[in-house]
Amino acid sequence: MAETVLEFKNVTWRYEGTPKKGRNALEDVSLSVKKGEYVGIIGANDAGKSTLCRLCNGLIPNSFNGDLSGDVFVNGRNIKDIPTAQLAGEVGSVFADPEAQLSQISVFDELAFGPSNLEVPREEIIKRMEETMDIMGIRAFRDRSPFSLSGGEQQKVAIASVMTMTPEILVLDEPTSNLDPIGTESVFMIIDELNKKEGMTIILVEHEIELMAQFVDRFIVLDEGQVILDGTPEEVFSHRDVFEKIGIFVPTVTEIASIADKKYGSWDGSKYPITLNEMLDKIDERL
Amino acid sequence: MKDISLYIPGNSFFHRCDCRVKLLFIAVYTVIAYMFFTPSVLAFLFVTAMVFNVIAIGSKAFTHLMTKMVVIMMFFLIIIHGFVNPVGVTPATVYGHTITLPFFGKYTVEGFYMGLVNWLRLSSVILIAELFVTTTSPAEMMSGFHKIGLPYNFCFMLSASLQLIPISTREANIIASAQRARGLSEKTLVDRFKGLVPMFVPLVVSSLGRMETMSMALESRAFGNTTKPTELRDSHFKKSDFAAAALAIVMLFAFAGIRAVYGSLDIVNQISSIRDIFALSFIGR
Amino acid sequence: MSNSAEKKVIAKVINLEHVYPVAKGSEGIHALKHVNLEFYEQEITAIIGQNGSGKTTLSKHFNGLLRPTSGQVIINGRDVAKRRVSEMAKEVGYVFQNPNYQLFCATVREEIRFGLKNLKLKESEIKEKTVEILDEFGLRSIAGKQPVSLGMGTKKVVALASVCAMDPEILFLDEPTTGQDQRGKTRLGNLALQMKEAGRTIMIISHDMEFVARYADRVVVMTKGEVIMDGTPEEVFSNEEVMERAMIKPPQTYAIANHIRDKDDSFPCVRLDADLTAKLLTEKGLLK
Repeated sequence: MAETVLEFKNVTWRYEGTPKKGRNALEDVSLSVKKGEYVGIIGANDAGKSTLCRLCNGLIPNSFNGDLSGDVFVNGRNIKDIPTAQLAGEVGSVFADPEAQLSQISVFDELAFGPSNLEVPREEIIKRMEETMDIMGIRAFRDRSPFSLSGGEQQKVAIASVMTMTPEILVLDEPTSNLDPIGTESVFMIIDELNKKEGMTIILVEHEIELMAQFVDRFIVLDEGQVILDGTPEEVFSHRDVFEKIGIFVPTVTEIASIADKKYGSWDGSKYPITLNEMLDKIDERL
Repeated sequence: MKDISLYIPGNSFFHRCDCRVKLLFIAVYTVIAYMFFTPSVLAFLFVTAMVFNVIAIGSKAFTHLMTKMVVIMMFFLIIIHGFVNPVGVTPATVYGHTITLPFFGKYTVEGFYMGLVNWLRLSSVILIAELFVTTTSPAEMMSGFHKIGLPYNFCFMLSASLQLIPISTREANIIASAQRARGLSEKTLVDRFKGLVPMFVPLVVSSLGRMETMSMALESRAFGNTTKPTELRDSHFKKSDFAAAALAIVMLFAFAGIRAVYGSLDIVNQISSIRDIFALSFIGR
Repeated sequence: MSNSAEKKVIAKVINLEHVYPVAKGSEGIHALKHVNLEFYEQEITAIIGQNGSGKTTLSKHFNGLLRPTSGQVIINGRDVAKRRVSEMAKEVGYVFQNPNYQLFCATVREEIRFGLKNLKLKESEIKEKTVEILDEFGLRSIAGKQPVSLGMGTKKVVALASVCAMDPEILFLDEPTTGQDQRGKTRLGNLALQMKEAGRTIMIISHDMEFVARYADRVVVMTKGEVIMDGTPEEVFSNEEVMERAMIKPPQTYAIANHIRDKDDSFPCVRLDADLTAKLLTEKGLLK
């Protein structure tokens, strides 16, 4: 059994300046993530998804003011005891707006920025950059300005620029929300590759549930700061009533299966499909 | 996206040259230019700087923005000096070496001399600076600034703000479109003035949003962890760098020697016509 | 379009071409190539395609933010290129992707009054219209709030309301669903339907195929500055060749239908939602 790399124990967080009648951003959240797991986090806007991300990489409580109770452990150590810079080397973060994350003059400098801030020796940085450029397929952009790239390419550079810090966990907060479908797909592909080939632990916040369903091992559903569902995609999507209540759709194929089952009585009792391919395979049996 | 830096990629001697050597050249040229008060030495600096530029970027050296600036300055400095005598009482008023131009009035020979000297001085410095900015990529420039001792945070701020200019410009354009599409009138000056608020507020709001992400991203990449991040670019001088640096230093000492022996070679007291200026400064007294 | 005979043409794009100038001597970027389109009243048209396909360039010709290199955009019989942008605001509303670019007033109410003031209406009219719009968009309870402090979804609605206050016949929604959760999408979709009922012509630029399939009456597909298809959602999403050319994945309901139709062409080409798909699959005996 794989080791636990990230653990939340009864974490409650309230941002400073939240009005009295406002709720806590996170309320008594407990969860643990194993090494190499690919976790999708979904929920309506303001459900606490971004807050959860910020806790993984120590931005909360280091850069945000508010009240924290409970503990977050990364690789068995409490984030309160890990210096922020060191934590940055263990948990890599990618955000929604690709341009706002990039600050350097060339892609080369962008990739070097993180490790050089950690004073990693020069040869080691070069080695990591070479590897990362190959994995991410961004070698062609090496000397270009990050700002001359398309959104999808920029987001790849942003991911690459945290990869060079060799984190074990990658936390991505809506990395595709500013991208077009081609960009979105290429980012999903690269994240999947990092998970499958490089064995990275992935925490992904997204709205693209159908696309996520193809890749993730596990979904965590947040609502009003609380974890309301946590399990494999099949387990989670079987709670259609919960999804309806919090205003998120399950994948259309799951919806179709469920309607066929409940309304038309035409489902054969097997598990509902999660992805389009599962549904098509099922149909092919009888076509 | 439009690149705002003045860098012209290439592979000339000066492109390969270490950024610090180029900064040394700027320093040496500036010091020499202000040691002398004669067109001959300054013309030497001017011509060499121009030749360097041509070697570095070819014919673009003549059309580059900074070269154009030098040409514009020529008109202003030489004409203004000739007419207004910026140093007040000059030998011209004493000796009366003036040329009377129809409609324009008196143009003093000594004023011309001073204009010429000042123009050559400034343009030599500008042209050698042009060599620096056209042959040094912004990335090298930043690491160069850091190498010569400017604080890392300062260099970062400088480069990050350079990056922000095109983004903010593009954003400002989108916001302008957004407000025009809401019927913001742009017919009169008053309209345009009123339009500043609808332009300004969204620009600030969106910049603040970006700043938040940016600061989180920087923190996630350990920015601020050290004031001495690992230097990635080759910081060793190559042989050619040593040679170029030596040349600069030799130049500095040679001209310092000339200056010590002959003084600043100021001949403003001896000229009585424009012909004199060239005769005296290039052929000798 | 089958219903074009009865419906009034509101806007016409004739042989529109747009070339973005680049550096001297080079060709320029051909963002639009000979686009011909007609838009009708009471219709929601979605314009889809990847970034750089020319969707946004096309849309900016409707209120004069861009001028054609050649060709024309005619709205209500008049050439847009001959009119001012601020004048066009009465006829063509444009809701930008990022509401932060549009909102700047101290309160939601002020935001709605801004457009009305630009139209130089009388104060009494402005008051009346503002109340009307606040009710129509369900913003009454937050009329006194600062737009900046609102959530992304509500901001979008405020931006939409502020544009609709000017009563434009044509309304452009640029990527209305980015950053929205399902609730926000449904709210915007329903507002779009509501405005269509009120007689407006609505154009949606979107990457969100689920949203397009749900709310659009008509879909225009663009790639590389050209319109490669123009039809109903069911026509467009069942055309696998066009989908491939535009590099667009159809919604899952249509993907299922397309898959079945490859082997069994009796599967109907109709407008699909989850319920209808389930029903058709049941009838065909493909599930049990």
